[in-house]
Amino acid sequence: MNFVKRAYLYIARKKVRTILLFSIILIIATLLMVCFSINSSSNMADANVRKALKCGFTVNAKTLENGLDENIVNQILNIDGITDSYNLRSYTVAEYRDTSSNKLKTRDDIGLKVYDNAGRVVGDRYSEKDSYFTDEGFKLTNGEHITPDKKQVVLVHEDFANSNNLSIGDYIVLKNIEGNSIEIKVQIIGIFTSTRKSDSEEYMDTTNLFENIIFTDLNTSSKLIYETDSNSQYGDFEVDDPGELDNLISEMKKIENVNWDNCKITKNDSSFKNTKEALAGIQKIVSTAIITIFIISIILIVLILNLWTKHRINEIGILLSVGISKKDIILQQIIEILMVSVPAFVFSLVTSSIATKIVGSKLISSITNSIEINVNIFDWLLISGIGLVIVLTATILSIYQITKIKPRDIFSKID
Amino acid sequence: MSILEVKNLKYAYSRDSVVFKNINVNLEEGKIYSILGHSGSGKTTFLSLLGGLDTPTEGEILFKGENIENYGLAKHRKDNVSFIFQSYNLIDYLTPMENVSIASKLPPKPILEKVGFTDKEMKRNVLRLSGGQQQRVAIARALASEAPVLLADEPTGNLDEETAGSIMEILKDCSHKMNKCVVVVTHSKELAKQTDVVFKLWRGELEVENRK
Repeated sequence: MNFVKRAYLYIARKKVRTILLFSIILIIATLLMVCFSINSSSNMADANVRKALKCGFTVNAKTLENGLDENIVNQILNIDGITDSYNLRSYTVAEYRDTSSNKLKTRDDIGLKVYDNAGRVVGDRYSEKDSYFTDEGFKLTNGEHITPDKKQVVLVHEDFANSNNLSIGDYIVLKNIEGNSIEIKVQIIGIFTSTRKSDSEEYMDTTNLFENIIFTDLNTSSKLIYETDSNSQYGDFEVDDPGELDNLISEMKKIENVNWDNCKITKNDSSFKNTKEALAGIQKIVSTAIITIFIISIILIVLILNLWTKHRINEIGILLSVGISKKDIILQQIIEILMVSVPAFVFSLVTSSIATKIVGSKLISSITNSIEINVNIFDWLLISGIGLVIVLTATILSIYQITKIKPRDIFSKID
Repeated sequence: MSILEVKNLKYAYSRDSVVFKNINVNLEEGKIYSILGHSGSGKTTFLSLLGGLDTPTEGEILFKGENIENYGLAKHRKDNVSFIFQSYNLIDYLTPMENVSIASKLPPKPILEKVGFTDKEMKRNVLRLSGGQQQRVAIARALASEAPVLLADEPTGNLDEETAGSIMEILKDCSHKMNKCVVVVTHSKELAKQTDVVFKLWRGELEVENRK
C-alpha cells in the first residue's frame, strides 16, 4: 500500500478530524479573505473617492464691483486640475409683475415683510445644481431646468403659479428693487415644488419664503444686478484631486486684475475629508484584524497539527517497524494535509465572496457607494499560498520531530 | 545454517547501567526460540537490537554474514525481519486486509485465511476485533512481509490461555512449516517449553536453558 492510499484512507476514515481541520482552515481563510477584500476595496475607495466625491471651492465675488465676469471664469477654468463642471450663481430681490404691469400675488401670511409682491431671484447657470434643489428639497414638477443655453426664462413655485393663474409658457416681469430698477420680461419654463417646510418661516424675510423664490438664468440675473450679460456673484468650481485643492486655490489667486482680498473663498471638501477619515479608520481596523487573525491562525494550526501528529506516534512507530521510510511517512501526512487544505482554500473563495458581500458592503457602503467590494483572486492566491506553506511547514516539522526518535523509543513512549 | 549471528553484544544506558554484555548466539532458519527473563532483564531490548529498532553499545549483529548497520537498519526491518508486539500495534483506521497490505505486495486474503479469518472479519475495522484476532492480524502482517526472521515480543501477553495456545501454534508453524527463524520473548515457561531452544537472560548474560 503506497503513501497516497494510506493518506486517502486516513482522511476518509478519520472523519471528525478531517471535518474539524477543514472547518478551521476554511474559517481562517474566509476571515482573512474578507479582511483582505475590505482592505483592498478601501484602498481602491480611497483612490476612487477623490474622483467620485465632488470636491472644490466657492468664490464669493459679491463684494467685487462687477462680480465674476466671463474672463475671470475662463481663466479659472483654464487652470490644470479644475474641471469643466462648474456653476455660477447670483441672488437679488425683485418685484413680480405680469406683462400688463399688474403686481403678482406673493405669500405674505407669515414672516417679516420688507417688500410687497416681491421675492428672491436666484440666478443659476444650472438650476438643477442649485443647493435649493440638491439640499433643500425643491423638486421640478413640470417643465425643464435652467441651463446655460437658455435666456430670460424662470422657474416658479407651484403655489405662486396657482395663485396667479400662471402656467408654463406664460410671461412675467422681474423688476429689481435692490439698487437699480431694471425690468426684464421672462418666460416661465418650469414649475417646482418644495417638499420640505422651512424651519423658521415666522422669522424670515417674506422674499425668502420658498413660495416666493424664482429661479432664472444667469443672463437675466446678470442684467438685473450688473446690467451686463454674463456676470455673477458666486462661482462653484470642482477639482480633479482633492489633495490639490489648496494649491489650485493659490494658483487661482495669481489671476491678475482681481482683488482677491475682497473675495471670500470657501473650500467644499468636508464630505471628502469625512469619507477619507472613515476609510482610514476602517483600514486601521482591518489591518489590525489581519495581523491578529494571522498570528492566532498560525498558533492554532501549528498547535493542532503538532498535537494530532503526536497522537499518531503509535502509527508512525508501526510504519517505521515494518520498514516504511521516514520520507514515505512524511509524504503521507503532506498528502493528507493537502487533501484537506486545498479544498478548504478553494471553498473559501465561495464563502468569502458571500461573507464579503454581507460584511464588507455594510461596512464600506455606509461610507461611500463609489466602490464595489469583491473578492480579489490575487488576494485568494496569496492567502492560499501562505496558508499552505504554514500548514505544510507545521506538519513537516511535527512529523520530523517524531521520525528522529528511534523506533524502539517510540514504542517505549507508547508503552 | 545461522541466519542471525550475534557477536559480543553489549547494551548499556550509561557506563554504570549495563543491561547485558558479551552475548554471542547464532539463530537458525526453521527454528523457534524463546527468551525468558524477569522484567527489566533486557529481553525486549535484545529483540529490538535483532530487529534493527535500536543500535548496540558494543558488538555486532550479522544477517547472513552482513552487519545489519552496514546493510541499513530501515532496510533490515523491511527486508529481513518482521515484528509481533504484545499490544498488537495495528493501524486503527485500517481493516485487517489493509493492515496486512501496508508493507507487502502479497495478496492479504490467503494470509489472513491462514490465520483463521473469515471474509467478513477481514473487512472490519481492527478496533472491533478481539485481542486474539488483532494478534492474528499482526502475525498475518508479519508473514506478509516474507521476512525470514520473525521477532515476537510477548505475543500472548494480553491473551487468554486458549487463544495464547493457538497463537503459539501459528508461530511454530511459521518456523517449522515456513522455515522462518522465530524469536519469542515471553514470561511464560509453559509457552517457552513449546519452542526449540529456550534462552534465559539472567544478570546481563544470555544462557541456554533448554534445547530440544
